[in-house]
Amino acid sequence: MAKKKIYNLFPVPIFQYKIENYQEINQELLNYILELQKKNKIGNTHSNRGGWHSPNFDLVNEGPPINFINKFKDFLKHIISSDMGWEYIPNKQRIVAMWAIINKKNSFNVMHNHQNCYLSASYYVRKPEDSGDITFFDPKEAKTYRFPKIEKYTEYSTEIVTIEPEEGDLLIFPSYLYHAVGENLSDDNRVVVSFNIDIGY
Amino acid sequence: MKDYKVRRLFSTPVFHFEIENYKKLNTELENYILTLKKKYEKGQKKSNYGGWHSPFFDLVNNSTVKKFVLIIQKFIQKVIIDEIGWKYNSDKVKIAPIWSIVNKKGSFNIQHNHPNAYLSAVYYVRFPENSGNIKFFDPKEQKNIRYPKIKNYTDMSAAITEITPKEGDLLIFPAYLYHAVGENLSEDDRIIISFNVDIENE
Repeated sequence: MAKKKIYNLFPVPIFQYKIENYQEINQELLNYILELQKKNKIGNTHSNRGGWHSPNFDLVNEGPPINFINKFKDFLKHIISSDMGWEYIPNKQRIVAMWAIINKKNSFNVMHNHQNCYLSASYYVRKPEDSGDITFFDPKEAKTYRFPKIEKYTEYSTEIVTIEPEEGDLLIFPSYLYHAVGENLSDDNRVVVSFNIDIGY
Repeated sequence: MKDYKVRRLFSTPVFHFEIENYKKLNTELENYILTLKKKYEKGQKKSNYGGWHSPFFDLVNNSTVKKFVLIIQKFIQKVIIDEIGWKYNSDKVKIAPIWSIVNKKGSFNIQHNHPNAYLSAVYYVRFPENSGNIKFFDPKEQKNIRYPKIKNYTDMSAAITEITPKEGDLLIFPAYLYHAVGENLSEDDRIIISFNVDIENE
């Protein structure tokens, strides 16, 4: 048989990073989120179905959100400049919004992406077993709209990939990437913090 | 930097095979192509600029073409079954059309893709140095239309990837993948064979 090589062109990256000493920051974030929920029980409606979507966090004053940002800002700088190869200009990259979602039993998130930013993230504060994994959808419509019968799902034929993160995991991915969250089948709450990053010229 | 994982999802594959003992085959193919060229000097006008695009090959009567089909069939079957995981039913897999392009000095191919097929391929019969590489374009419009300033091109920020093939190489890729061919800057002709693979619905 002839020699073979495969070029895997134009991948969509998902960066997975474990926050150091996450137990401590998770407790801080959880307290902050529950305080917000007390003040704003209705929350916002976006992709959340049954779950509570918080108002945006305070990113100006000292507090748990700023403490959290300090835990990953070096990592963020690293993926922007090394992995993505984008120019890193400190005052040009900013977190445009940060919020929390609490999915109680049977809640889930419908497919969505995040507009007007480059990177989006999801961070796991509470992630009970079977509380819903995140599924990503292939952004190439030309591929997902019409295709031959699939006999074996491979990285080339699949159009969805599900990731099972753990508490303390931070996932960062391109904002255009559509994703959804499965139903929480556990009795405990699933709590995530999400945020968007935009970069100016 | 502390350890982290990068998952690379939904990449677009280009399968690259080096055909064994290709020299004799290429001589035979070249003779067939040059005979066609004499007969149909005008050729067809598609993505070719300055180059000659052959009429579609005779898949029924010509023994050289039939020999070529038997060779490429194995690779297509391998890509469909082993690499991509689509169902392979030989009655439903159509390798057609097959054509050739001869790019003389100064010729090139503009960006295009191949509608109404699942896979497309290119096979290199004559490939002089600097006769024009193939470039592939990222199919994700949302990524290409707006992006931060790029300092270093990486596999995640690049919107174009260029491949430099050799004679006897066969590239197979999804038909939706836009591609183009650079200008032939050499004095010699660049000769390739291209074809589409479609799979009928069951």
